[in-house]
Amino acid sequence: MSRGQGPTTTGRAVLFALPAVFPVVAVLGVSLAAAVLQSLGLMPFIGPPSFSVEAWTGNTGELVRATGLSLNIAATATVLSVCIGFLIAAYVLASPRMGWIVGALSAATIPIPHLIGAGAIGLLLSDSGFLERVLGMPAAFPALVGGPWWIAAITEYAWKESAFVALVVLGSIARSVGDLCDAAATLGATARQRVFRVVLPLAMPSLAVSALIVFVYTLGSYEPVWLLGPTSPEPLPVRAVRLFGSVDLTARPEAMASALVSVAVGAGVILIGILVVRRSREFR
Amino acid sequence: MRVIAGLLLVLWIVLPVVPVLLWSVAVQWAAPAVLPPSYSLQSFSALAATDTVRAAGASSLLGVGVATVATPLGYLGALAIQRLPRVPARLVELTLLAPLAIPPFALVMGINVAFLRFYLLPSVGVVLVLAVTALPYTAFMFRSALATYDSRFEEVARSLRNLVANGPPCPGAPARWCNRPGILPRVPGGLGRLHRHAAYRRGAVADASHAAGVRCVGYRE
Amino acid sequence: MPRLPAPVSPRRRAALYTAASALALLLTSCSGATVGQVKSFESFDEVRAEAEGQTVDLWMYGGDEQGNAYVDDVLAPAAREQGVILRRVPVADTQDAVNRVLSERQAGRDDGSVDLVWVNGANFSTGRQAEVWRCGWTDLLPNMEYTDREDPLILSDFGTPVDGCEAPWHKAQFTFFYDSEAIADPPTSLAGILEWATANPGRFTYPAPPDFTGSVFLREVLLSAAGGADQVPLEYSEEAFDEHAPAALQALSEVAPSLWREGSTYPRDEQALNTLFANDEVDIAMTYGPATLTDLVAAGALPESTKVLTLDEGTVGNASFLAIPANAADAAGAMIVANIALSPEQQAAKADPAIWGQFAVLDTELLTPAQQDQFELLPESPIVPDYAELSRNAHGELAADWVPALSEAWRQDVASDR
Repeated sequence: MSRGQGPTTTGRAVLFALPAVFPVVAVLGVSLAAAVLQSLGLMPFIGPPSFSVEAWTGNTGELVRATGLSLNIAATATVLSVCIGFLIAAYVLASPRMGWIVGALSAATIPIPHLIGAGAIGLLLSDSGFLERVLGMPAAFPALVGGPWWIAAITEYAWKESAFVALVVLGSIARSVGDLCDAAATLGATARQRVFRVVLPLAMPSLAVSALIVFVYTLGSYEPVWLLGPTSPEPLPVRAVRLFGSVDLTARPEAMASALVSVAVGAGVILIGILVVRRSREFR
Repeated sequence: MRVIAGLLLVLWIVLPVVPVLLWSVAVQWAAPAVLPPSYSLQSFSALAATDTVRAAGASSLLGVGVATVATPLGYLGALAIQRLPRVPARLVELTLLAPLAIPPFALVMGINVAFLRFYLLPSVGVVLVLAVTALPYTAFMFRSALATYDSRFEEVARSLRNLVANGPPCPGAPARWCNRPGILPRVPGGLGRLHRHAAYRRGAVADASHAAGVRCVGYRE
Repeated sequence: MPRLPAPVSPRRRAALYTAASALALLLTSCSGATVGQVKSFESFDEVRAEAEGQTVDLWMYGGDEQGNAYVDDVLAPAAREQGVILRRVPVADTQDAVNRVLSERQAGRDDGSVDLVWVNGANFSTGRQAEVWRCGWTDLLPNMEYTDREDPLILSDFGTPVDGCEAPWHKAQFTFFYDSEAIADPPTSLAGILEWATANPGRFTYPAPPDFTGSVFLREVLLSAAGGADQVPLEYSEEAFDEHAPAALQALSEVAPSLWREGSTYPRDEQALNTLFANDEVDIAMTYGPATLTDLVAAGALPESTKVLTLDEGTVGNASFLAIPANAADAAGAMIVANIALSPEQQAAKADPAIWGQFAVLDTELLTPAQQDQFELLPESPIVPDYAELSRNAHGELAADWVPALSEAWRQDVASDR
């Protein structure tokens, strides 16, 4: 059975693919090639190119620490986003009137850029921010912005990305879920049972895909961690951007190595994610 | 209970925006003041400055440019994934997903020198990079839209198979089942293409409906 | 489901070709590309003739609203009168502009988009190492006659000889300021500030290097810990670094537990420090642009009780400059702008605290009485003392190579310590 119905349709499909695939391959290929060359000292600012793996091996400890930190932040942010996003979606489905308000407000935050989101969370959570002032400036207010647990940065990701998760989930199940919920209700299922027995299984595929997207996005995102995180340790994107802009002419290869590590981790996560999603589909 | 849950969600969504809104109308607002001591719309009148207007115009142009490039390309990519044989389809799918794995900062760091060397106009370069990072989203929006459409066809095919097995074949009883507009997916834009696409698909459905035991036509996943 | 063999589709072949050719193209000219010969000018008249109608892109730090307004509303109209259109390109950090020039050079472009950069210190020295600046052009500028040719601040920039590679623009003095409501009896030396910080836990901090302001503070601590500015050689060497840096880093590690947030994190930049100061989280802050203080206090961004804190041993001072990249597309126009920026009229306007408040680089004794009057008539800032008082006992900047070395050591030893 046939996905490609003979050479002509396949040929036409290839023609369809070309305009989309070509820019991606060109931009990614050139960008990665230039990054690899620069990380290996083959495109220096001054002097002749000389091959060196110093940028990769010179400070491996810091590179590994930065990678671990980035993975941690991304994982925490993803778990929170998916949970809160699902709650929003479930609430929208479960409560007709109030749900509409929640859904509309949540969707309205989608166009807010992460940079603005980070600024907003900073104004809310910093040491003399809005929340602390509202609470009457308690001395024991925890260090949320720039603190050791990256709470403000993770909150920013969870805030923005939970709205994204909710949007994806609602978009994918809104049409099919209504009848099933009605049926479940007729059969005597409580609201809680409907959410966890009907909505959750239906939402699983879209939750998995959006979790993947959120994870990879937060892994490679720069502004929130830069604005809201502590000076040290550094996640991968912050390290890469700092080295990229360094006045030290020899820092560029290290910047490229950091960026490439973050590309490799992102690609690895996507591949694993796709495999897991496919495998779980085959099981069903 | 339900109301409390709703209020908590509203609080979660709205709270971060509150200090931004207050700051936008505050003249000055230093701690420990909970609310700004005085308000003014001055910062909004500053929005009328030519710089702001120009920046807004540039942003809009950029957005429109990227959407104009990435939307049709994403649609074509989604069509290609659906029509290509399995292995190439996967390759195209992975390629179109790849920009997701590459953080924008890494993409720009590497491509910067190359764009300069190719004498690419900066604006064209920015649109190109942003369009590439947007392609995974547009391609997969269309793909899932087309997949919904596929699964509806699955239902149609099943019904057709029943008809084939139990009664008159499609041409005899088709008015409802083969009615095209009824099964068009809600794909934004490109309806003409979809119509042609639907016709193409229908042929496949008819073929397949004669093959006993076929679950669905060209339906992956 | 029969699996079709994957055809080597034209699509993939095209992709391979693209990647291969791109790689080749990048490889063939990947050494620091040599930019074509820089056209030099014999006289300023020649510059004027070529500059007519050019559009000059001035890349400068965009975070100083008064500076932006000065360039847009005062400097640009003056340039237009002489037939040159001046366009301000705001950047988050001067490094971004230098980076752009370096990238263009790497790509072998000789029609650069950066015509003029507001620059000094490490950025200038990096550019000199990479040979990206046009040099030997400032002698052409007629208005250079108003500057003191022997002024050390104009002759060398953070220890790097200027050699006519940049035209002076203004002078600056590193300045501490404090909240006079919180501190009745402020410290009078850098060591005193650190002692005060220890005695008042949580009320002091400094921006994290490599931020510009934070790294100046780091160098001031280095000089103070060494026993004075004359104890440390201006020239950078590993020996000098190993001799003097440990004491400074130790002093900062020791004070860290008493800093804001117990030194577990630091404000990102000067703006972040100012926010802490304005919200009464710290009582002492610092800036290399004291000119901005007047406006910040007037606008309410800093409290009215803000007062400048001068140190007995003096602070570091520098001059900042306008440099032209060797590959600038509109170099002649950039020279016209640099010349206008040096004129007594522009320097006096720029020194007005209501306009920008930047200290002039001119030697007032070389001016005509009428020109001198323009400076005499300038209103005084209610916050910032005049340049003579601010720069009392001032010392020059260490060589630029100290800057990244100290920042990196600070990041390793002090920041990741806690």
